[in-house]
Amino acid sequence: MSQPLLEVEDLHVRFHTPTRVVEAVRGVSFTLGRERLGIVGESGSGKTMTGRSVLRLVRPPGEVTARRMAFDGIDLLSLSERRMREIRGSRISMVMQDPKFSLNPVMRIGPQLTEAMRVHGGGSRKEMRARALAMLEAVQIRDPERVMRAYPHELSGGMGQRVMIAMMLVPDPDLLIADEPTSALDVTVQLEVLKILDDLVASRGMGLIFVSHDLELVATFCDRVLVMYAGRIVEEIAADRLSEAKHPYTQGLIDCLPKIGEDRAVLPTLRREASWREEPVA
Amino acid sequence: MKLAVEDLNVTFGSGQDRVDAVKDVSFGVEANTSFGLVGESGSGKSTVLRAICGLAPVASGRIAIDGRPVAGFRDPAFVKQVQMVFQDPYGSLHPRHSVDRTLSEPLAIHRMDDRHARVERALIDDVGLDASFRYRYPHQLSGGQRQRVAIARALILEPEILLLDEPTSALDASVQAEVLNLLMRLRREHELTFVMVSHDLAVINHMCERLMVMQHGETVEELNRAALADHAVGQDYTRSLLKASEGFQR
Repeated sequence: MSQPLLEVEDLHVRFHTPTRVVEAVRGVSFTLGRERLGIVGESGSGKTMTGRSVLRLVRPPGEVTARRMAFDGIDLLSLSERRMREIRGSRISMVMQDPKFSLNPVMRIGPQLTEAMRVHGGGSRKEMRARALAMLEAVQIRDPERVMRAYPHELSGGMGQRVMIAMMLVPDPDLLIADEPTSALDVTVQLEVLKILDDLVASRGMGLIFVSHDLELVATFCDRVLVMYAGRIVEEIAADRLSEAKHPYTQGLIDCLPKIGEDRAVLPTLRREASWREEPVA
Repeated sequence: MKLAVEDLNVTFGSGQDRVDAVKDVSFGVEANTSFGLVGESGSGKSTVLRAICGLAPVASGRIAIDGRPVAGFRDPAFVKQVQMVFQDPYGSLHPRHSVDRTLSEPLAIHRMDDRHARVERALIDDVGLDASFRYRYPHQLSGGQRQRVAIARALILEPEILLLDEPTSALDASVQAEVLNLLMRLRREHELTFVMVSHDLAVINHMCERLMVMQHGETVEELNRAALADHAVGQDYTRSLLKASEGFQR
């Protein structure tokens, strides 16, 4: 790996409200190669904002600052909005949490897929249709013809999420940011969707940022995990060594989950220390 | 048997649009134990709970509490005996009612005395919030605090059976642990009987002595906690749920 795909250094996201400034992300730094990186944390830890700021999708009154934020050597901070749009979607894509709210409810799936293609290059109508069908097959939709004609409400959650993934993969991006891509799905469907993502990442050599609250899932799916608390990375750890986590927050998150085959009358709960907000990365 | 459900069938619609949401489901729950219903969306697990409360159209079957059958309109005595906690603490509390009003209303309806003290007891002793929460509104509470209020609301009539519909799936893992601990303590202190619905096998395993796996409205199998721990399950579907609960495998 000569040059990292993504470099983020000292990222801050602040929200200016009439009464005070809320710091959602406070000094996050990481680099990403062509690998699967998990970002884990509880609600409000800043994990989603970290993912969104890479795509410059944080809206005012939110303010993003960083010492450096570069994608494939391109400085994302100084890029014009027009150049940013060329990268957004075509080289960096994002899969959102809930297909119910992220697909256009009054547009059939087919036109939604080809619209993405038209924006990024295009081709003839026939070519685009063939590519859309191929994408739906790539995410293992068995009857792509029917799905092309369907409206989002006619699809199950799992199907909808596959369509979303297909749509994000149309322009063949180098980096995919998936924000809780499977949290709205049933457990068994969740694994099927992850399998598809995993195969695509492996076969296309993409980088993947997987944002999730589910520590155990991330540990089994990703190569490396960043654990966030109160807008900071409190621990970075190889996913297969999660059980050796050193930070009390990470340990607490693992311990408080009920496990099959264990008989604990009382689950340990997290005792949050004020110092976790300020201590440097362990 | 505290609660018995026999050959329960629930259907919605008719003719072409007929959906059999629950098909021939039977189970029994002993007093002061927890029974879990596990399955994926559309398996009919929540509909079973709603049928017990009279909130779903029961096509056939029997539901009995303490051996006495319940059917049709549920009278106030039933409501006092059986209460429900819903999944989404954002949707299940009235946004313009203060905590105090949410907790007092059932007491007024059931003409119970000593309301002030009962609300205080439910809020402070039962669910561990302090008195300052009493006059707050739901939007001033976190998800975990809201779910505590929803549990306090269910407990205020001193029920014997609590029906829990995914009570922690909208909560963060650390908050889930706190709420599960709270429920276990309340079950002990108030000698409650729980029927708990969840898609999370590990949560059901932690809370329930016995559980039933459902799929497409039908019973897949009934298990106890030890069988689940030993992976001694009889059906492939249960096995796939168990495997899925271990996370992603390459």
